[in-house]
Amino acid sequence: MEKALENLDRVIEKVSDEAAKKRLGEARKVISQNRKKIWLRTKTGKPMALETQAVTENILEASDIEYALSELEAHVDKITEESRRRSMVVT
Amino acid sequence: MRILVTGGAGRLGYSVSRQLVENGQTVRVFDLPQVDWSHVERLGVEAFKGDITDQGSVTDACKDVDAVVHLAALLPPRSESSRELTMKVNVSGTENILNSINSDTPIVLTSSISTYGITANAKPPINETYPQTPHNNYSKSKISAEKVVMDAGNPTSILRIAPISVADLVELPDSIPYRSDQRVEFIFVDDAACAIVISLKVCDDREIYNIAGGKSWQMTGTEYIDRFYAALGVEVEPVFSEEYTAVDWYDTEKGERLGYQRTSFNQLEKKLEVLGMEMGLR
Repeated sequence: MEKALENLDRVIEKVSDEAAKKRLGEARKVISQNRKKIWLRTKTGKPMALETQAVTENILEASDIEYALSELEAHVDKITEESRRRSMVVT
Repeated sequence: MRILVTGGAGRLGYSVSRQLVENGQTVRVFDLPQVDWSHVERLGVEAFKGDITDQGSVTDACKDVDAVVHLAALLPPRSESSRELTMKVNVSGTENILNSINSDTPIVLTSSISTYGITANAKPPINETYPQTPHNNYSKSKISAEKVVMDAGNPTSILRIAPISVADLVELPDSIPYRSDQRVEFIFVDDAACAIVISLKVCDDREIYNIAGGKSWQMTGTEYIDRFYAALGVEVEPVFSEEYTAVDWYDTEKGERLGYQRTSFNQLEKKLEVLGMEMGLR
């Protein structure tokens, strides 16, 4: 996840379009907030962490940033949903 | 018997619905359309998607039911962002059900031990006669809901349930909602569901019960967190609340006749150890 954050920092620096920059910033925030989640250390979570790195590498190398950004956002949504599902139950 | 379970698609609702189905009951689950229905629908229940704050929807859901288990509620932390919405869901929602059923239809209301307020200075264990002390939107709403049900006169069991514990990987929040040295007592989700199911049979008594895990679950906040995550095989760095909160040790003797305390904390640890291995955490 740290590598994914580094990748996103590089993309954010490179991108000039403000709207894309904002969306990248939001995705980065979610990844940063979730990077220490316990479920990312499980058998099913580890591939998700690797996939996070892969989608951020895709953005770094993408000629079509819109497509790669949508892929990143869809991936980030999955992270958000899994973390929400595992949030502490309190009555 | 056809039993309506409001809030039946949640974790506790699923366990209640499963146990009722296993007991041969016909179960109608009422919950919001946008929640995850996939697990509970697999039980073969009647799915009724609606909003507890909508009288029409509730009236339709209550048609031809012989008893109601009322779990639907706005819980902390969401309950604390809007007093109005919390009262609407937790109190008016309860009134909507009572408006829709006959006066002899039994209703089990799930209330909360948080209605006792912050009891850190009291002598434990806290029993059902301890004065209720509202300290937030949620506890206020649950105290009001209890009164609404009692005043309606239906056969009822009111269950003040301790925080629920599950045999699953649960992420730590940024701040644990109790102090590290605070007395805490949780209850295993299936045991809470068991209490609800059995209490349906004794609604004629119109009693109020504390529902909590029992002696093996009585510990401090830090002991609970340490043992839970150690069993999963995970090292954690919890940050505890600096303030005492509304969790304590409870006197559950009155509810013992319901026979619901079936899972000791040690048994939960065993379940977590197995899960930790399956998940590759151990």
